[in-house]
Amino acid sequence: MGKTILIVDDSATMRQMVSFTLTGAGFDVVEAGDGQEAVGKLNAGAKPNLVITDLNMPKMDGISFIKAVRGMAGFKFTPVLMLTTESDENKKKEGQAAGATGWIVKPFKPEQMLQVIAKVMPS
Amino acid sequence: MSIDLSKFQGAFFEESAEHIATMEEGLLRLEQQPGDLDLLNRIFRAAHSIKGNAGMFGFAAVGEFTHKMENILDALRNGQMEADKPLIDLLLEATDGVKGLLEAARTDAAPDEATVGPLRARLQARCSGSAAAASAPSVACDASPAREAPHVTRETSPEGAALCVMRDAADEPCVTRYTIHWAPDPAVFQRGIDPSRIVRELRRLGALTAKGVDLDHMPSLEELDANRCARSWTFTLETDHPREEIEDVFEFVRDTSDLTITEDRDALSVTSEHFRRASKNPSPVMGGDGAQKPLGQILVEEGVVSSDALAQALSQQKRLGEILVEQQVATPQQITQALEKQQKLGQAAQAQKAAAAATTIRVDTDKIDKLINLVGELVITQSMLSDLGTRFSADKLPVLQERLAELERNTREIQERVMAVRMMPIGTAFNRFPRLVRDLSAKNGKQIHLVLSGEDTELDKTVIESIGDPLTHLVRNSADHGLELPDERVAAGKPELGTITLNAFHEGGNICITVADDGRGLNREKILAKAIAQGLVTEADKLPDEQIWPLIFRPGFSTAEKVTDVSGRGVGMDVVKRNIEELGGTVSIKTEAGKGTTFTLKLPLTLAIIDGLTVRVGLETYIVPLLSVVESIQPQETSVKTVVGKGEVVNVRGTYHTVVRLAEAFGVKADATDPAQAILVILETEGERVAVMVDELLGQQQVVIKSLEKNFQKVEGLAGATILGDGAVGFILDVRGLIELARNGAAMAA
Repeated sequence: MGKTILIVDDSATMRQMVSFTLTGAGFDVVEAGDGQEAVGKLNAGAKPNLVITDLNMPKMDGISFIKAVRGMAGFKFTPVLMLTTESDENKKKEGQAAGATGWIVKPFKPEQMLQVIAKVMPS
Repeated sequence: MSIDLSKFQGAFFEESAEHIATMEEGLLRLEQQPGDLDLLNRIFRAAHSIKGNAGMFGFAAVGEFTHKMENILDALRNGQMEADKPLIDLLLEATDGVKGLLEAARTDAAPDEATVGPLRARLQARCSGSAAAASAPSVACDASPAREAPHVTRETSPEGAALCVMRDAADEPCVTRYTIHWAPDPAVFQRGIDPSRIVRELRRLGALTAKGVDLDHMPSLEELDANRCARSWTFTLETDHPREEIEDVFEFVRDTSDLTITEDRDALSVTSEHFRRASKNPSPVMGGDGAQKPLGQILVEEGVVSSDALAQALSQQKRLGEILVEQQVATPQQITQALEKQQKLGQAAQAQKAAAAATTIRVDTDKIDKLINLVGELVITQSMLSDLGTRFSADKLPVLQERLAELERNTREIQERVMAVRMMPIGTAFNRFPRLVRDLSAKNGKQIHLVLSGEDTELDKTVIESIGDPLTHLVRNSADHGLELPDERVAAGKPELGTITLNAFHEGGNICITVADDGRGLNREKILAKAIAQGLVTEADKLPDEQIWPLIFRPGFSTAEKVTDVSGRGVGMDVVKRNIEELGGTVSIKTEAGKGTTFTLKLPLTLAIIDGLTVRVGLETYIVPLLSVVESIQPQETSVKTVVGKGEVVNVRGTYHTVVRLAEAFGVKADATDPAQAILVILETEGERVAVMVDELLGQQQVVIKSLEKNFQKVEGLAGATILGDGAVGFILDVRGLIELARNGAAMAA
């Protein structure tokens, strides 16, 4: 095990909840409050096996962040899940085009998130 | 076992309050700069966050309402709507609506439908109105959360449904064979999707076999790009899982792939041990909400009954109490009593919730890290001291003193840091005022410019929470009474635009907050006339200005000619003063006719620790709050006199103050009975002074307040107790109480 997940969300509550769920499931978690901070953490050597990102964020939004991740050596194939709301149908398309692996629709139950992660987490 | 996220509710409510503040502030600024996209994005994000998070906790009412706001904000962002004044008004009201809904959710109360309902309708109307006007289908406005959750409601093919009914009846797995053709988007690798994972997922659902090879689409070696997926597959899958689960496997690639799933109708009754086992562990379906719906709701949703019919049927339902009374098992009184009890329990639970939820605080990790460092140092100092203690000899005294000095420094620093944990910038209390002032200026036809400064000044969270209301009252007072109407201002040679300034700054160990206006100033004659009418003073009193202004803090005192919606209800200023004093602070007024009025609140940084002057009376030590000490004097024999009706008084430079002998007030034995042999400490609160007689001044120190009421009982004249350096208990004097004590004592003596 020892898999690391990067969670990027400007809402501290959401980060806390995701973090709590993931740590409980045995993952290591790295948090970032927006795309820019997340890119900084990746550049500084964070090596997540999977990334979960919100879309609406200040400084650098989720779509730009996903594009940035896909442009970085070493994260070309890293699964990236985005957190969307039901009404973000267009965002879903945009996200896929930017390179998002999949999505978790808010509101979600923690178990659902873990299921989606299990689906895409590289073995 | 499900994962419980409810412990994050506190964080959610706190964060939402911040988002509400962001929205409010943003909307107010949007009025000034309507097209500001950055601003709109920020407001949108705030609404969006509340919506998204509310859903996580199942606060559907909050989510749904915020969603409507979000639609409008989105339309604004896309330029489909314009941020005119009515719309900003509506959005501000809606922000209040969200606030109300959040509060209801927090306290587990029913939302205030009377306020929220019409707002919801107005938001909806505004949205559809604009869509029609733009004559383009506005996606943003039409979106409703329920309809667009594709994995929640899914259509099942009629055959499939029928088959599964059969399966349920016979408890026999019903196996369907599907033919699946899948040609993923060649760019699928770039999304970090591994097609083999999907194939493996499929295999989990049943017996999977791959059919035929698609030679037509195989690239030649030259054309082959390792980063692009050139393959396509055709499988047969025999499974007893519903079709939706197969679709779920392809959830993330469905939109971009060439995918067909066809049902093979001939092979229906394959039974095998494998499938039987599989059917016993049905994999959970995404998106399903486990919450149980009321029967009525299901019936309405299924179209069995109309919602009107349901409402009617429900209204005919008898209440439990009525039934019991009819059956004569209980008397109406018993039922009423039980209902009252139920209500009380509900209220108590709600109050408890309200109190409990408000106790979280968010602290910078920075502050905590520093604290941990300091604790580390403290531990080191302690171990050095205990080491010294085990092998102590007289020659090591300097080392001991050095270590003790270190310990003192550590302790003081830790104390400061711990205090800092509770410190918050006062800006959080100022946030509400731009909105308030905007509403007030609209309401009373005045043009008001609000200036905020010193928002970063930090003070104790409890203090911040408690000064909100007094500050609001002062700002309302300035807007309503202080500032003049525009024409009045012009006539007085002032700009039409009146200014209210809120400022916060540190001064010594206190924080000062000023509320200043450039209005007409307090009216000396009016206040005096009113005070005389109320019998507070007599015309003969000839009060100086400084003693006239504080009269407005007397209960029931209002000079407003007419009672307005805003203030001037005769309650207020006295409450302001009382609230501030409860926090250990003071209020003072500076005013100049025609130039304006400034209220200054002086507050302690924290409620838990005060700077005190320690004094001795006989064997007892008392602590006087330093804030209220004016001076200490050694009176001459001739300056202390007994006056009928006022008791013992002391003449300090021409002014007489009542003398309170602490020894007598608290029934202890003092060294000196003659004031000339003792020391008089002059204390002041709310503009009143009193001279307290003590034996000796011991020094100045910070003391931690321990509540007497909590640990013992309220004692007149004492504000609390503390543990002194030698372990003894020292009492903290309550200056206000002492003044009352002096007044009552004098009345009794007279």
